[in-house]
Amino acid sequence: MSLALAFRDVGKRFGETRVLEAFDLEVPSGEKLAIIGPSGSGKSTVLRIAMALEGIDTGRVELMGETLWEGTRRPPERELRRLRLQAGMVFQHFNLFPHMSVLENIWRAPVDVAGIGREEAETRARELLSRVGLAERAEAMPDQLSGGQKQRVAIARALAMRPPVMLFDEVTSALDPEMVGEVLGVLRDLADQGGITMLLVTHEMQFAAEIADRVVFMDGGRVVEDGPPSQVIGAPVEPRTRAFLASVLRGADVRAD
Amino acid sequence: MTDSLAMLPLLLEGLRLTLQITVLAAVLALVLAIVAGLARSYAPRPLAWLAATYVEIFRGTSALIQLFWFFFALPLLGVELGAFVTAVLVLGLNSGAYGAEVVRGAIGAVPRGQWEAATSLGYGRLGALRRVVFPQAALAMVPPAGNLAIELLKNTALVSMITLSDLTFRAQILRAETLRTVEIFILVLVLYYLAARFITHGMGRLERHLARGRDHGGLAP
Repeated sequence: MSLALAFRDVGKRFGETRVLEAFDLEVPSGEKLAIIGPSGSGKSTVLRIAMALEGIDTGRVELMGETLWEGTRRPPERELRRLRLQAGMVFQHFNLFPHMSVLENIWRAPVDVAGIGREEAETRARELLSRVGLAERAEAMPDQLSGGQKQRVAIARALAMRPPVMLFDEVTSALDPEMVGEVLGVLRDLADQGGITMLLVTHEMQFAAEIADRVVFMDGGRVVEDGPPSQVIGAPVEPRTRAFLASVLRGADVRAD
Repeated sequence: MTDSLAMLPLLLEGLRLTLQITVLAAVLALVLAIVAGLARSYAPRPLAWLAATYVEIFRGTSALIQLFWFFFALPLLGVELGAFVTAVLVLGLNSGAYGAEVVRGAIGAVPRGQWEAATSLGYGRLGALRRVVFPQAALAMVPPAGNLAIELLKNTALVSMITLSDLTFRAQILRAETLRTVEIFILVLVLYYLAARFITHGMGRLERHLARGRDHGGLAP
């Protein structure tokens, strides 16, 4: 099976801080991969490197069979722009464009970047909005939406470019608890539909266990445990994974009270 | 009182020149502010340096001396621009230097997440700037730009020192002829004040237009 994404012995540091160290990860096309781990473990950095928002220091990263990063070499801007079309990203803080309507947020990039006709792009945008359950909010401005609605629009916006790989960076972490469900519902539909490679950095263990084909636990910039959800979340082997899950579950218990 | 109103047409003639210079200098300043503000942040080194030098020189020296230099010194070097062109050019350059800092600050204040969202959708730097970042920064630029426009209006009084018959110049002439200093300068103050109110009003409308659909000030949260 072909690989959507491959990290090979990747090292990355911010100043003195090592964020990734001898990091290896292969993601086959079509896989739903959940990345879990404590904050500062480097999991968001993995997504940002795959989206070509950050470079690396050592090693090599391949996206859809093409080299994206190799050591500190930075590909020319035109090359980066072409490669970025292979991936789409949804951010923790939505990052919707506040000066555009919900619909324009979705059709704008396909028109500007992919050269699709405005009418076709708008039709597709409306379809995507229906898919995330927000057809009736097409003309609203982002500031008029709830957090959960904003995040669903952000997912539709990223999907509009039809990238083969979708990266979700803690997309429910900034939401009020009652809005987490509607966003997870959209992700579940997307996962069920198949065809797209999905990488999810998440703190929602139960959700990860439910939709992921595979779970990676990261700590200190490395992969500590890697396997099916039943193992990594259900019955972790590594002591560090156990400790992490225990602390997360304690948090969940406290919230349930 | 009727006599002082009789002076009004003369003063209004002066106001017309004042407003002409203000508008033309503001247009020039707007272009310069955007070009220099963007160049300082995003252009290659030599251009960025040129923009920074322009800003520092025109912010760091007196507008009156700049007018004198362009009007009295430049002709000695063989370049004669005429009083009106000199006024528009110098006041535009002066205002544009302050404006460049407004542009640079507003663009720098747009959250990084907006750049990243645009980049992840496939926009290049220029496309992200044009479509996503600049329109948001523009909203944040309006209030300080309004201040600069009013400063510019008031600075036009300096052109009376290089032979132009603007509002201030005409007030001086009338005062010398009639000696009714109190009334004349009250009229002049009112006229400048009304012109400034007009700018404030226009800027307010522009801000509301740019902010439609937004529930808070200039920048994304």
